[in-house]
Amino acid sequence: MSDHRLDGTFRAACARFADRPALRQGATVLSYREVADAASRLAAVLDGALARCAGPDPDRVAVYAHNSVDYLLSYLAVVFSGRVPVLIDRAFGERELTAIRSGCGVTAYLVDAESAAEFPLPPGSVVPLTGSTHALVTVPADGDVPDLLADTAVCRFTSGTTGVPKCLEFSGFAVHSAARNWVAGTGLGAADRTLCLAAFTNGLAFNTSLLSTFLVGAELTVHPGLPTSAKIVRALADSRATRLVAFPFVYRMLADADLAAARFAGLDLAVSAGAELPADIRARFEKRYGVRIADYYGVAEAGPCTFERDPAYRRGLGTPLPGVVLRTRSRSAGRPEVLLRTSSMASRYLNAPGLLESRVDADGFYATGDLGHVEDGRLFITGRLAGPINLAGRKVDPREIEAVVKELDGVRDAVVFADTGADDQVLLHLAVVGRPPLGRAGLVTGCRDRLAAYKVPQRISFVTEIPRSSTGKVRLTDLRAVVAESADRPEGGIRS
Amino acid sequence: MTGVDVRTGETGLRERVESLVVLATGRAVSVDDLRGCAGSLDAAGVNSIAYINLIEALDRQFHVVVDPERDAEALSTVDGIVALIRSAGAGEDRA
Repeated sequence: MSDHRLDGTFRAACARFADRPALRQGATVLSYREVADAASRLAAVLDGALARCAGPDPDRVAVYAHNSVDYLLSYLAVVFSGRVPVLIDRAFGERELTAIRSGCGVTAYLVDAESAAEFPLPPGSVVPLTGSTHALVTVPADGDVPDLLADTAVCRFTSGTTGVPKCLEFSGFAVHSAARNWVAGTGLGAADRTLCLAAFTNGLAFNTSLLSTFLVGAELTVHPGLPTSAKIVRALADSRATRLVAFPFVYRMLADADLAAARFAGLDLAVSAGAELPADIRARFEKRYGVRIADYYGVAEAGPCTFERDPAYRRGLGTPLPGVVLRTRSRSAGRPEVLLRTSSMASRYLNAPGLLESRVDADGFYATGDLGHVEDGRLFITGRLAGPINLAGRKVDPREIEAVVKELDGVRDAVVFADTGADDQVLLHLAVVGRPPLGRAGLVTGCRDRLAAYKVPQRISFVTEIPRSSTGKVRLTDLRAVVAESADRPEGGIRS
Repeated sequence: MTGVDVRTGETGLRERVESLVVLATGRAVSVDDLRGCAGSLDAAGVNSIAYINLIEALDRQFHVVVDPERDAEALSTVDGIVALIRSAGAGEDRA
Protein backbone atom coordinates (compact mmCIF):
# COMPACT_ATOMS: atom_id res chain seq x y z
CA MET A 1 0.00 0.00 0.00
CA SER A 2 1.79 3.05 -1.29
CA ASP A 3 0.41 5.44 1.34
CA HIS A 4 2.08 3.37 4.05
CA ARG A 5 5.53 3.34 2.53
CA LEU A 6 7.94 4.88 5.00
CA ASP A 7 10.29 6.29 2.37
CA GLY A 8 7.46 8.23 0.77
CA THR A 9 6.33 9.66 4.10
CA PHE A 10 9.81 10.70 5.16
CA ARG A 11 10.60 12.23 1.76
CA ALA A 12 7.31 14.11 1.71
CA ALA A 13 7.94 15.49 5.20
CA CYS A 14 11.45 16.58 4.23
CA ALA A 15 10.08 18.37 1.17
CA ARG A 16 7.20 19.99 3.06
CA PHE A 17 9.23 21.24 6.01
CA ALA A 18 12.43 21.75 4.04
CA ASP A 19 13.95 24.70 5.88
CA ARG A 20 12.77 23.83 9.36
CA PRO A 21 15.25 22.23 11.77
CA ALA A 22 14.69 18.48 11.96
CA LEU A 23 17.51 16.77 13.84
CA ARG A 24 19.88 18.12 16.45
CA GLN A 25 22.84 16.70 18.35
CA GLY A 26 24.80 19.20 20.40
CA ALA A 27 25.66 22.10 18.11
CA THR A 28 24.89 20.12 14.97
CA VAL A 29 21.50 20.89 13.45
CA LEU A 30 20.14 19.46 10.21
CA SER A 31 17.16 20.93 8.42
CA TYR A 32 14.60 18.63 6.84
CA ARG A 33 16.13 19.30 3.44
CA GLU A 34 19.60 18.46 4.74
CA VAL A 35 18.26 15.26 6.30
CA ALA A 36 16.74 14.18 2.98
CA ASP A 37 19.93 15.03 1.07
CA ALA A 38 22.20 13.26 3.55
CA ALA A 39 20.02 10.16 3.77
CA SER A 40 19.67 9.98 -0.03
CA ARG A 41 23.43 10.26 -0.49
CA LEU A 42 24.01 7.59 2.12
CA ALA A 43 21.43 5.32 0.51
CA ALA A 44 23.36 5.55 -2.77
CA VAL A 45 26.64 4.86 -0.94
CA LEU A 46 25.02 1.88 0.77
CA ASP A 47 23.73 0.54 -2.55
CA GLY A 48 27.23 0.77 -4.01
CA ALA A 49 28.87 -0.84 -1.00
CA LEU A 50 26.41 -3.73 -0.95
CA ALA A 51 26.88 -4.26 -4.69
CA ARG A 52 30.60 -4.73 -4.13
CA CYS A 53 30.15 -7.26 -1.33
CA ALA A 54 30.00 -10.98 -1.86
CA GLY A 55 26.67 -12.73 -1.69
CA PRO A 56 23.14 -11.77 -2.69
CA ASP A 57 21.87 -8.21 -2.24
CA PRO A 58 20.12 -8.26 1.14
CA ASP A 59 16.54 -7.02 1.53
CA ARG A 60 17.21 -6.14 5.19
CA VAL A 61 20.04 -4.13 6.76
CA ALA A 62 20.63 -3.83 10.49
CA VAL A 63 21.56 -0.64 12.29
CA TYR A 64 23.74 -1.64 15.24
CA ALA A 65 25.19 1.61 16.53
CA HIS A 66 25.10 4.12 19.33
CA ASN A 67 22.44 6.83 19.41
CA SER A 68 23.34 9.78 17.20
CA VAL A 69 22.08 11.82 14.28
CA ASP A 70 24.08 9.45 12.08
CA TYR A 71 22.05 6.59 13.56
CA LEU A 72 18.88 8.20 12.25
CA LEU A 73 20.48 8.99 8.89
CA SER A 74 21.51 5.35 8.56
CA TYR A 75 17.97 4.29 9.44
CA LEU A 76 16.58 6.63 6.78
CA ALA A 77 19.21 5.55 4.25
CA VAL A 78 18.13 1.92 4.61
CA VAL A 79 14.51 2.99 4.18
CA PHE A 80 15.37 5.16 1.17
CA SER A 81 17.33 2.28 -0.39
CA GLY A 82 14.15 0.22 -0.41
CA ARG A 83 15.38 -2.20 2.22
CA VAL A 84 13.98 -3.01 5.65
CA PRO A 85 15.87 -1.54 8.62
CA VAL A 86 16.49 -3.99 11.46
CA LEU A 87 17.16 -2.03 14.65
CA ILE A 88 19.44 -3.97 16.99
CA ASP A 89 20.23 -2.95 20.58
CA ARG A 90 23.88 -1.87 20.71
CA ALA A 91 24.19 -3.72 24.02
CA PHE A 92 23.65 -7.07 22.31
CA GLY A 93 26.76 -9.21 22.07
CA GLU A 94 27.97 -12.23 20.17
CA ARG A 95 25.31 -14.57 21.50
CA GLU A 96 22.41 -12.35 20.47
CA LEU A 97 23.93 -11.37 17.12
CA THR A 98 24.68 -14.99 16.25
CA ALA A 99 21.04 -15.83 16.91
CA ILE A 100 19.85 -12.84 14.87
CA ARG A 101 22.03 -13.80 11.94
CA SER A 102 20.82 -17.38 11.85
CA GLY A 103 17.20 -16.81 12.87
CA CYS A 104 16.49 -13.57 11.04
CA GLY A 105 18.86 -13.83 8.09
CA VAL A 106 20.62 -10.53 8.82
CA THR A 107 23.95 -10.38 6.99
CA ALA A 108 24.49 -6.60 6.63
CA TYR A 109 25.05 -4.24 9.55
CA LEU A 110 25.63 -0.50 9.78
CA VAL A 111 27.93 0.01 12.75
CA ASP A 112 29.99 2.78 14.34
CA ALA A 113 33.09 2.88 12.11
CA GLU A 114 35.44 3.60 15.00
CA SER A 115 34.44 0.34 16.71
CA ALA A 116 33.84 -1.78 13.59
CA ALA A 117 36.85 -3.91 14.48
CA GLU A 118 35.05 -4.96 17.67
CA PHE A 119 31.95 -6.19 15.85
CA PRO A 120 30.96 -9.38 17.67
CA LEU A 121 30.67 -11.64 14.60
CA PRO A 122 33.56 -12.56 12.29
CA PRO A 123 33.04 -10.13 9.41
CA GLY A 124 33.17 -11.05 5.76
CA SER A 125 33.91 -7.43 4.89
CA VAL A 126 34.07 -4.00 6.49
CA VAL A 127 33.41 -1.03 4.20
CA PRO A 128 33.64 2.59 5.38
CA LEU A 129 30.70 4.66 4.17
CA THR A 130 31.64 8.03 2.70
CA GLY A 131 30.00 10.91 4.53
CA SER A 132 29.00 8.84 7.54
CA THR A 133 30.54 7.84 10.84
CA HIS A 134 29.15 4.38 10.16
CA ALA A 135 30.65 1.46 8.28
CA LEU A 136 29.00 -1.46 6.54
CA VAL A 137 29.88 -4.84 8.00
CA THR A 138 28.74 -7.92 6.13
CA VAL A 139 28.82 -11.49 7.40
CA PRO A 140 28.17 -14.75 5.56
CA ALA A 141 24.63 -16.10 5.86
CA ASP A 142 24.10 -18.89 8.37
CA GLY A 143 21.40 -21.12 6.92
CA ASP A 144 18.29 -20.13 5.05
CA VAL A 145 17.21 -16.51 5.11
CA PRO A 146 13.58 -16.39 6.29
CA ASP A 147 11.30 -14.29 4.09
CA LEU A 148 9.92 -11.08 5.52
CA LEU A 149 6.22 -10.41 5.10
CA ALA A 150 5.54 -8.38 1.97
CA ASP A 151 4.44 -5.29 3.91
CA THR A 152 7.15 -5.36 6.60
CA ALA A 153 8.74 -1.91 6.93
CA VAL A 154 10.78 -2.13 10.15
CA CYS A 155 12.09 -4.88 12.43
CA ARG A 156 12.81 -4.35 16.13
CA PHE A 157 13.51 -6.78 18.97
CA THR A 158 12.07 -7.79 22.29
CA SER A 159 13.34 -10.20 24.91
CA GLY A 160 13.49 -13.87 24.23
CA THR A 161 14.59 -17.04 25.93
CA THR A 162 17.86 -18.94 25.45
CA GLY A 163 19.67 -15.90 24.14
CA VAL A 164 17.42 -15.35 21.15
CA PRO A 165 15.80 -11.92 21.04
CA LYS A 166 12.46 -12.11 19.28
CA CYS A 167 12.32 -10.11 16.04
CA LEU A 168 9.15 -8.09 15.64
CA GLU A 169 8.03 -7.32 12.10
CA PHE A 170 6.07 -4.08 11.77
CA SER A 171 4.19 -3.15 8.63
CA GLY A 172 4.31 0.35 7.23
CA PHE A 173 0.69 0.72 8.31
CA ALA A 174 1.59 -0.18 11.92
CA VAL A 175 4.55 2.24 12.02
CA HIS A 176 2.42 5.03 10.57
CA SER A 177 -0.40 4.27 12.99
CA ALA A 178 1.90 4.41 16.00
CA ALA A 179 3.18 7.83 14.94
CA ARG A 180 -0.21 9.24 13.98
CA ASN A 181 -1.80 7.98 17.19
CA TRP A 182 0.96 9.59 19.21
CA VAL A 183 0.57 12.91 17.41
CA ALA A 184 -3.21 12.92 17.78
CA GLY A 185 -3.23 11.63 21.34
CA THR A 186 -0.56 13.87 22.80
CA GLY A 187 -0.96 17.02 20.72
CA LEU A 188 2.55 16.95 19.27
CA GLY A 189 2.87 19.95 16.96
CA ALA A 190 5.26 21.72 14.64
CA ALA A 191 6.46 24.01 17.41
CA ASP A 192 7.58 21.10 19.58
CA ARG A 193 11.19 20.24 20.14
CA THR A 194 11.66 16.78 21.66
CA LEU A 195 14.75 15.79 23.62
CA CYS A 196 14.74 12.00 23.51
CA LEU A 197 17.06 10.21 25.94
CA ALA A 198 16.15 6.67 24.91
CA ALA A 199 17.69 4.58 22.14
CA PHE A 200 15.67 4.17 18.95
CA THR A 201 15.77 0.41 19.30
CA ASN A 202 13.32 0.91 22.15
CA GLY A 203 9.64 1.56 21.53
CA LEU A 204 9.69 4.54 23.86
CA ALA A 205 11.94 6.45 21.45
CA PHE A 206 10.85 4.84 18.21
CA ASN A 207 7.14 5.44 18.74
CA THR A 208 7.18 8.83 20.46
CA SER A 209 9.97 10.65 18.71
CA LEU A 210 10.88 9.44 15.24
CA LEU A 211 8.20 9.32 12.54
CA SER A 212 5.83 11.42 14.68
CA THR A 213 8.37 14.27 14.61
CA PHE A 214 8.53 14.12 10.81
CA LEU A 215 4.75 13.98 10.41
CA VAL A 216 4.30 17.40 12.01
CA GLY A 217 7.57 19.12 11.13
CA ALA A 218 8.80 19.24 14.70
CA GLU A 219 12.42 19.02 15.89
CA LEU A 220 14.14 16.04 17.48
CA THR A 221 17.25 16.21 19.62
CA VAL A 222 19.26 13.02 19.84
CA HIS A 223 21.29 12.28 22.93
CA PRO A 224 24.40 10.12 22.61
CA GLY A 225 25.92 8.40 25.62
CA LEU A 226 24.79 8.06 29.20
CA PRO A 227 22.20 10.64 30.28
CA THR A 228 23.83 12.29 33.29
CA SER A 229 22.22 15.39 34.77
CA ALA A 230 25.04 17.62 33.51
CA LYS A 231 24.56 16.34 29.96
CA ILE A 232 20.80 16.64 30.13
CA VAL A 233 21.02 20.24 31.29
CA ARG A 234 23.39 21.02 28.44
CA ALA A 235 21.09 19.31 25.92
CA LEU A 236 18.08 21.20 27.25
CA ALA A 237 19.94 24.47 26.80
CA ASP A 238 21.13 23.56 23.28
CA SER A 239 17.78 22.34 22.08
CA ARG A 240 15.36 24.56 24.01
CA ALA A 241 13.28 21.40 24.22
CA THR A 242 9.55 21.52 24.87
CA ARG A 243 9.29 17.78 25.50
CA LEU A 244 11.53 15.39 27.35
CA VAL A 245 11.23 11.64 26.71
CA ALA A 246 13.00 9.41 29.21
CA PHE A 247 12.85 6.30 31.35
CA PRO A 248 11.87 6.58 35.03
CA PHE A 249 15.45 6.22 36.29
CA VAL A 250 16.26 9.53 34.59
CA TYR A 251 13.47 11.30 36.47
CA ARG A 252 14.71 9.70 39.69
CA MET A 253 18.18 11.07 39.03
CA LEU A 254 16.91 14.53 38.13
CA ALA A 255 14.60 14.63 41.14
CA ASP A 256 17.65 14.01 43.35
CA ALA A 257 19.90 16.47 41.53
CA ASP A 258 20.43 20.00 42.74
CA LEU A 259 19.58 21.80 39.51
CA ALA A 260 18.04 25.21 39.00
CA ALA A 261 14.39 25.08 37.95
CA ALA A 262 15.16 27.65 35.26
CA ARG A 263 17.04 24.94 33.36
CA PHE A 264 13.71 23.23 32.75
CA ALA A 265 11.69 26.37 32.07
CA GLY A 266 11.13 25.63 28.37
CA LEU A 267 9.68 22.19 28.93
CA ASP A 268 5.94 21.78 28.56
CA LEU A 269 5.88 18.08 29.13
CA ALA A 270 8.00 15.18 30.33
CA VAL A 271 7.08 11.70 29.15
CA SER A 272 7.94 8.65 31.22
CA ALA A 273 7.50 5.05 30.18
CA GLY A 274 9.00 1.62 30.23
CA ALA A 275 8.61 1.02 33.95
CA GLU A 276 6.63 2.32 36.86
CA LEU A 277 7.49 5.83 38.03
CA PRO A 278 7.14 5.95 41.82
CA ALA A 279 4.76 8.66 43.05
CA ASP A 280 7.32 10.28 45.34
CA ILE A 281 9.80 10.74 42.48
CA ARG A 282 7.13 12.24 40.27
CA ALA A 283 6.11 14.62 43.07
CA ARG A 284 9.68 15.71 43.78
CA PHE A 285 10.52 16.24 40.11
CA GLU A 286 7.35 18.23 39.43
CA LYS A 287 7.74 20.34 42.56
CA ARG A 288 11.40 21.06 41.90
CA TYR A 289 11.17 21.86 38.20
CA GLY A 290 7.51 22.75 37.62
CA VAL A 291 7.17 20.30 34.72
CA ARG A 292 4.43 17.70 34.52
CA ILE A 293 5.43 14.10 33.95
CA ALA A 294 2.90 12.25 31.82
CA ASP A 295 2.91 8.47 31.89
CA TYR A 296 2.90 6.59 28.65
CA TYR A 297 2.20 2.89 28.48
CA GLY A 298 3.46 1.02 25.48
CA VAL A 299 4.00 -2.62 24.66
CA ALA A 300 6.77 -3.82 22.37
CA GLU A 301 4.39 -5.93 20.32
CA ALA A 302 1.49 -3.44 20.25
CA GLY A 303 3.09 0.01 20.11
CA PRO A 304 1.94 3.07 22.07
CA CYS A 305 -1.21 2.36 24.04
CA THR A 306 -2.16 4.95 26.67
CA PHE A 307 -1.23 8.48 27.67
CA GLU A 308 -2.50 10.81 30.40
CA ARG A 309 -3.75 13.98 28.75
CA ASP A 310 -5.36 15.55 31.79
CA PRO A 311 -2.75 17.43 33.88
CA ALA A 312 -5.09 17.27 36.88
CA TYR A 313 -5.37 13.48 36.84
CA ARG A 314 -2.62 11.94 38.95
CA ARG A 315 -3.42 8.22 38.98
CA GLY A 316 -3.02 5.40 36.51
CA LEU A 317 -1.34 5.36 33.11
CA GLY A 318 -3.82 7.46 31.18
CA THR A 319 -6.50 6.82 28.60
CA PRO A 320 -6.17 4.85 25.37
CA LEU A 321 -4.55 6.64 22.46
CA PRO A 322 -6.53 6.80 19.21
CA GLY A 323 -6.71 3.40 17.56
CA VAL A 324 -6.34 1.55 20.88
CA VAL A 325 -9.00 -0.52 22.65
CA LEU A 326 -8.42 -1.94 26.14
CA ARG A 327 -10.04 -5.01 27.64
CA THR A 328 -9.30 -7.29 30.59
CA ARG A 329 -9.84 -10.99 31.13
CA SER A 330 -9.73 -12.94 34.33
CA ARG A 331 -6.67 -15.10 34.88
CA SER A 332 -5.69 -17.45 37.69
CA ALA A 333 -6.90 -16.39 41.15
CA GLY A 334 -9.26 -13.96 39.46
CA ARG A 335 -6.48 -11.54 38.56
CA PRO A 336 -7.34 -9.56 35.43
CA GLU A 337 -4.87 -9.48 32.54
CA VAL A 338 -4.76 -6.48 30.22
CA LEU A 339 -5.61 -7.13 26.58
CA LEU A 340 -5.02 -4.62 23.81
CA ARG A 341 -6.12 -4.13 20.26
CA THR A 342 -4.14 -1.46 18.45
CA SER A 343 -3.62 -0.31 14.89
CA SER A 344 0.14 -0.33 15.52
CA MET A 345 0.47 -4.04 16.31
CA ALA A 346 3.44 -6.05 15.07
CA SER A 347 2.63 -8.62 12.41
CA ARG A 348 4.58 -11.51 13.94
CA TYR A 349 7.93 -12.63 15.35
CA LEU A 350 10.12 -13.38 12.34
CA ASN A 351 12.15 -15.96 14.28
CA ALA A 352 9.34 -17.47 16.36
CA PRO A 353 6.55 -18.29 13.91
CA GLY A 354 3.11 -18.60 15.47
CA LEU A 355 4.09 -17.33 18.92
CA LEU A 356 2.73 -13.81 18.61
CA GLU A 357 -0.32 -15.03 16.76
CA SER A 358 -1.05 -17.41 19.65
CA ARG A 359 -1.34 -14.43 21.99
CA VAL A 360 -3.91 -12.62 19.86
CA ASP A 361 -7.53 -13.70 20.29
CA ALA A 362 -10.22 -13.99 17.64
CA ASP A 363 -11.18 -10.34 18.15
CA GLY A 364 -7.62 -9.16 17.58
CA PHE A 365 -6.76 -8.47 21.24
CA TYR A 366 -3.20 -9.12 22.33
CA ALA A 367 -2.59 -10.64 25.77
CA THR A 368 0.06 -8.39 27.30
CA GLY A 369 0.97 -10.47 30.35
CA ASP A 370 0.41 -7.35 32.45
CA LEU A 371 -2.09 -7.51 35.28
CA GLY A 372 -4.32 -4.50 35.74
CA HIS A 373 -7.69 -2.92 35.32
CA VAL A 374 -9.48 -0.01 33.71
CA GLU A 375 -11.01 2.56 36.03
CA ASP A 376 -12.53 5.87 35.07
CA GLY A 377 -11.33 5.19 31.54
CA ARG A 378 -7.72 4.93 32.73
CA LEU A 379 -5.38 1.98 32.67
CA PHE A 380 -3.90 0.78 35.97
CA ILE A 381 -1.13 -1.83 35.92
CA THR A 382 -0.82 -3.83 39.12
CA GLY A 383 1.71 -6.53 38.27
CA ARG A 384 2.80 -9.11 35.78
CA LEU A 385 2.14 -12.72 35.04
CA ALA A 386 5.30 -14.81 34.89
CA GLY A 387 7.56 -13.59 32.14
CA PRO A 388 10.21 -11.01 31.44
CA ILE A 389 11.64 -8.80 34.17
CA ASN A 390 11.39 -5.10 33.41
CA LEU A 391 14.78 -3.52 34.07
CA ALA A 392 14.33 0.23 33.71
CA GLY A 393 12.41 -0.25 30.50
CA ARG A 394 14.38 -3.14 29.10
CA LYS A 395 12.73 -6.55 29.24
CA VAL A 396 14.91 -9.44 30.35
CA ASP A 397 13.86 -13.07 30.37
CA PRO A 398 15.42 -14.70 33.47
CA ARG A 399 15.54 -18.08 31.73
CA GLU A 400 18.02 -16.70 29.22
CA ILE A 401 20.41 -15.73 32.01
CA GLU A 402 19.87 -18.98 33.90
CA ALA A 403 20.77 -20.93 30.77
CA VAL A 404 24.03 -19.00 30.44
CA VAL A 405 24.97 -19.36 34.11
CA LYS A 406 24.30 -23.09 34.08
CA GLU A 407 26.86 -23.46 31.28
CA LEU A 408 29.61 -21.99 33.49
CA ASP A 409 32.16 -24.24 35.16
CA GLY A 410 31.23 -25.28 38.67
CA VAL A 411 27.56 -24.27 38.51
CA ARG A 412 25.09 -26.96 39.54
CA ASP A 413 21.90 -24.94 39.61
CA ALA A 414 20.89 -21.32 39.14
CA VAL A 415 17.80 -19.15 39.34
CA VAL A 416 17.40 -15.49 38.37
CA PHE A 417 14.58 -13.41 39.80
CA ALA A 418 13.55 -9.76 40.18
CA ASP A 419 14.70 -8.09 43.38
CA THR A 420 14.98 -4.49 44.52
CA GLY A 421 18.06 -2.60 45.61
CA ALA A 422 18.35 -0.32 48.61
CA ASP A 423 17.19 2.46 46.30
CA ASP A 424 14.02 0.50 45.40
CA GLN A 425 15.11 0.02 41.80
CA VAL A 426 14.49 -3.35 40.21
CA LEU A 427 17.59 -5.47 39.75
CA LEU A 428 18.47 -9.02 38.71
CA HIS A 429 19.26 -11.39 41.57
CA LEU A 430 21.08 -14.62 40.79
CA ALA A 431 20.92 -17.48 43.28
CA VAL A 432 23.51 -20.06 42.42
CA VAL A 433 24.56 -23.49 43.64
CA GLY A 434 28.05 -24.61 42.78
CA ARG A 435 31.43 -25.82 43.78
CA PRO A 436 34.72 -23.95 44.26
CA PRO A 437 36.41 -22.01 42.81
CA LEU A 438 33.11 -20.49 41.72
CA GLY A 439 32.90 -16.87 42.84
CA ARG A 440 31.24 -13.59 42.02
CA ALA A 441 34.02 -12.40 39.71
CA GLY A 442 33.90 -15.56 37.63
CA LEU A 443 30.13 -15.46 37.34
CA VAL A 444 30.07 -11.80 36.33
CA THR A 445 32.83 -12.34 33.78
CA GLY A 446 31.10 -15.44 32.42
CA CYS A 447 27.85 -13.54 32.00
CA ARG A 448 29.51 -10.45 30.53
CA ASP A 449 31.25 -12.60 27.93
CA ARG A 450 27.97 -14.13 26.80
CA LEU A 451 25.22 -11.60 27.47
CA ALA A 452 24.41 -7.95 26.91
CA ALA A 453 25.79 -5.96 29.85
CA TYR A 454 22.37 -5.02 31.19
CA LYS A 455 21.49 -8.72 31.55
CA VAL A 456 24.34 -9.39 34.00
CA PRO A 457 22.89 -10.01 37.48
CA GLN A 458 23.76 -7.27 39.95
CA ARG A 459 23.09 -9.26 43.11
CA ILE A 460 24.50 -12.76 43.48
CA SER A 461 23.76 -15.15 46.32
CA PHE A 462 25.54 -18.44 46.84
CA VAL A 463 23.22 -21.06 48.29
CA THR A 464 23.47 -24.78 48.97
CA GLU A 465 20.20 -25.61 47.25
CA ILE A 466 17.46 -23.99 45.21
CA PRO A 467 14.12 -24.80 46.86
CA ARG A 468 11.89 -26.44 44.27
CA SER A 469 8.51 -28.15 44.28
CA SER A 470 8.09 -31.81 43.40
CA THR A 471 7.55 -30.75 39.80
CA GLY A 472 10.81 -28.80 39.76
CA LYS A 473 9.23 -25.37 39.96
CA VAL A 474 11.19 -22.85 42.01
CA ARG A 475 9.54 -21.93 45.33
CA LEU A 476 10.36 -18.24 45.14
CA THR A 477 9.18 -17.32 48.63
CA ASP A 478 11.40 -20.01 50.13
CA LEU A 479 14.27 -18.97 47.87
CA ARG A 480 14.04 -15.38 49.07
CA ALA A 481 14.30 -16.64 52.65
CA VAL A 482 17.31 -18.78 51.76
CA VAL A 483 19.18 -15.92 50.06
CA ALA A 484 18.40 -13.61 52.97
CA GLU A 485 19.97 -16.19 55.25
CA SER A 486 23.02 -16.53 53.01
CA ALA A 487 23.55 -12.77 52.84
CA ASP A 488 25.76 -12.85 55.93
CA ARG A 489 28.09 -15.46 54.48
CA PRO A 490 28.98 -14.46 50.94
CA GLU A 491 30.14 -17.35 48.79
CA GLY A 492 29.78 -19.49 51.90
CA GLY A 493 27.03 -21.52 50.33
CA ILE A 494 29.39 -23.17 47.88
CA ARG A 495 30.06 -26.75 48.58
CA SER A 496 32.11 -29.27 46.77
CA MET B 1 30.97 19.71 56.16
CA THR B 2 33.04 16.62 56.75
CA GLY B 3 35.71 17.25 54.19
CA VAL B 4 38.35 14.75 53.19
CA ASP B 5 41.90 15.88 52.68
CA VAL B 6 42.75 14.05 49.49
CA ARG B 7 46.45 14.78 49.89
CA THR B 8 46.73 12.87 53.14
CA GLY B 9 43.52 10.84 53.38
CA GLU B 10 44.23 8.28 50.63
CA THR B 11 42.77 5.37 52.53
CA GLY B 12 39.78 7.36 53.64
CA LEU B 13 39.16 8.62 50.12
CA ARG B 14 39.39 5.13 48.67
CA GLU B 15 36.91 3.86 51.23
CA ARG B 16 34.54 6.69 50.43
CA VAL B 17 34.74 5.90 46.73
CA GLU B 18 34.05 2.24 47.47
CA SER B 19 31.09 3.30 49.55
CA LEU B 20 29.75 5.47 46.73
CA VAL B 21 30.02 2.55 44.30
CA VAL B 22 28.11 0.33 46.71
CA LEU B 23 25.37 2.94 47.11
CA ALA B 24 25.24 3.53 43.36
CA THR B 25 24.36 -0.12 42.86
CA GLY B 26 21.61 0.00 45.45
CA ARG B 27 23.90 -2.14 47.64
CA ALA B 28 23.68 -4.97 45.13
CA VAL B 29 27.49 -4.88 45.04
CA SER B 30 29.31 -4.90 48.37
CA VAL B 31 32.70 -3.53 49.32
CA ASP B 32 33.93 -7.12 49.56
CA ASP B 33 32.65 -7.80 46.03
CA LEU B 34 34.48 -4.76 44.77
CA ARG B 35 37.74 -5.64 46.51
CA GLY B 36 37.38 -9.23 45.32
CA CYS B 37 37.48 -7.86 41.76
CA ALA B 38 40.58 -5.73 42.44
CA GLY B 39 38.50 -2.58 42.33
CA SER B 40 37.20 -3.17 38.81
CA LEU B 41 33.63 -1.92 38.58
CA ASP B 42 32.87 -3.87 35.41
CA ALA B 43 34.17 -7.10 36.89
CA ALA B 44 32.04 -6.52 39.99
CA GLY B 45 28.95 -6.22 37.80
CA VAL B 46 28.28 -2.48 37.98
CA ASN B 47 25.73 -1.69 35.26
CA SER B 48 25.06 1.48 33.28
CA ILE B 49 22.38 2.84 35.60
CA ALA B 50 24.72 2.38 38.56
CA TYR B 51 27.42 4.23 36.62
CA ILE B 52 25.03 7.14 36.17
CA ASN B 53 24.20 7.08 39.88
CA LEU B 54 27.92 7.09 40.65
CA ILE B 55 28.62 10.04 38.35
CA GLU B 56 25.85 12.01 40.04
CA ALA B 57 27.21 11.12 43.46
CA LEU B 58 30.75 12.21 42.52
CA ASP B 59 29.34 15.56 41.46
CA ARG B 60 27.35 15.96 44.67
CA GLN B 61 30.07 14.74 47.02
CA PHE B 62 33.25 16.01 45.40
CA HIS B 63 32.21 18.65 42.82
CA VAL B 64 33.83 16.41 40.22
CA VAL B 65 31.99 16.52 36.91
CA VAL B 66 32.73 13.25 35.17
CA ASP B 67 32.11 12.78 31.47
CA PRO B 68 31.14 9.13 31.07
CA GLU B 69 32.62 8.87 27.58
CA ARG B 70 35.79 10.92 28.04
CA ASP B 71 36.53 9.50 31.50
CA ALA B 72 35.28 5.97 30.82
CA GLU B 73 38.58 4.26 31.58
CA ALA B 74 39.17 6.11 34.84
CA LEU B 75 35.59 5.55 35.88
CA SER B 76 35.92 1.79 35.56
CA THR B 77 38.14 1.26 38.61
CA VAL B 78 38.30 2.52 42.18
CA ASP B 79 41.90 3.61 41.57
CA GLY B 80 40.82 5.56 38.51
CA ILE B 81 38.03 7.32 40.35
CA VAL B 82 40.36 8.26 43.19
CA ALA B 83 42.75 9.68 40.59
CA LEU B 84 39.91 11.64 38.97
CA ILE B 85 39.03 13.19 42.30
CA ARG B 86 42.63 14.00 43.09
CA SER B 87 43.35 15.46 39.66
CA ALA B 88 40.32 17.71 40.04
CA GLY B 89 41.78 18.91 43.32
CA ALA B 90 38.54 17.91 44.96
CA GLY B 91 37.93 16.63 48.41
CA GLU B 92 35.47 18.99 49.91
CA ASP B 93 32.24 17.35 50.88
CA ARG B 94 29.13 19.32 50.12
CA ALA B 95 26.74 16.58 51.18
